[in-house]
Amino acid sequence: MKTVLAACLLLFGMFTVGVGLGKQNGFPLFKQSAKAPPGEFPVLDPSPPKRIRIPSIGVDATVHAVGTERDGSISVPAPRLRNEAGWYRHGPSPGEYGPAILVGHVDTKDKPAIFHRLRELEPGAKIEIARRDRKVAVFEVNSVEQFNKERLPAAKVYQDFSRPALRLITCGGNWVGGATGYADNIIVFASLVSSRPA
Amino acid sequence: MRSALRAAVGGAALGAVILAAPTPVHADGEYLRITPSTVQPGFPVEIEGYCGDNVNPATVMSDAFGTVTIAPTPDQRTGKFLHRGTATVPTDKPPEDYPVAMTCASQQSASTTLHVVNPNVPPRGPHTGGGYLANKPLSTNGFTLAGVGALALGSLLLFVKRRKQRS
Repeated sequence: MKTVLAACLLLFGMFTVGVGLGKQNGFPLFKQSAKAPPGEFPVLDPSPPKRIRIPSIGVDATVHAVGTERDGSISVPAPRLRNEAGWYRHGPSPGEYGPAILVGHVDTKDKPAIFHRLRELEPGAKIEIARRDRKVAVFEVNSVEQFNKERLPAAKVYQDFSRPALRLITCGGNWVGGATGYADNIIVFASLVSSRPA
Repeated sequence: MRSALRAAVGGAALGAVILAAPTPVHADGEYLRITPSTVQPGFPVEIEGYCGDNVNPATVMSDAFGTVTIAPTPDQRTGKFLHRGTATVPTDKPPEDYPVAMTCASQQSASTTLHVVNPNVPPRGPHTGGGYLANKPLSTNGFTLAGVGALALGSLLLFVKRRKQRS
């Protein structure tokens, strides 16, 4: 009897540790891998985003505008604004045609930050962006992907103007340190599905 | 890659139904719509204009892409005479909001705005992390903790059983 119980516990333990490590490292154990964007969608006038809400991973935060770094990459929020997202002001605003880009830290050197659970997002999850014009743009996640920072697929991330869309970008993968920091970016691809007054 | 994107824009413009595009509509129903209404320099846009069933060509003008003259053709679904054409924003066009104006043969007009954005593609991804979570190989993930606990308990049980068997 004790052997059976021990065997069950060991099997249960191995399985549960696997699930736990998988969730932490983003292995898609029970996820569907992608969801297609909608056939119908609204198009909104330009308006800067003010707030981002992602209920499924507990994000409810302020958005401010960011520009470009000297090396051409998108600027990131200052460490003291680690729980805010930065909207790339040189691209479309959320709701216009094209990919609106919001960047946010996964962590600072001593604390988790706004997007520390971003890789847990599932296709089909909703992301709401409240804009300055009091409209809320509602996006649906199509996929969550990981790339080496030096090898982002530029056309897919920055140049797809076929529909209003959203790109949430944070860091992930191995910690390299130095000027690079994390080796990879985690990118959430989402499409506009609806809009409503705030 | 570019031609694939152009095809995607064309396909999206024809195939996707736009629920609430910001298109001002006038007395005879004349309108002008540019798709996509936000675009990068170097990429094409689709023009759709309606001059109240006028069968003569209309001119569409913008500092973003110059002047295009479009003769109307009957729309397959509605039978209305629509002016459909394309234009390309030059690669060196500065990012700005550009008014677009259509003048019909009957002197009616319609206008809209084309937003040109984002001419530069970042060469690498943003530096959005400081390394705190990278130093924690096992997080306080509920699954991992429960699993490790079960493994420990199971191993202990087996160990105790073995000891009992030996003695």
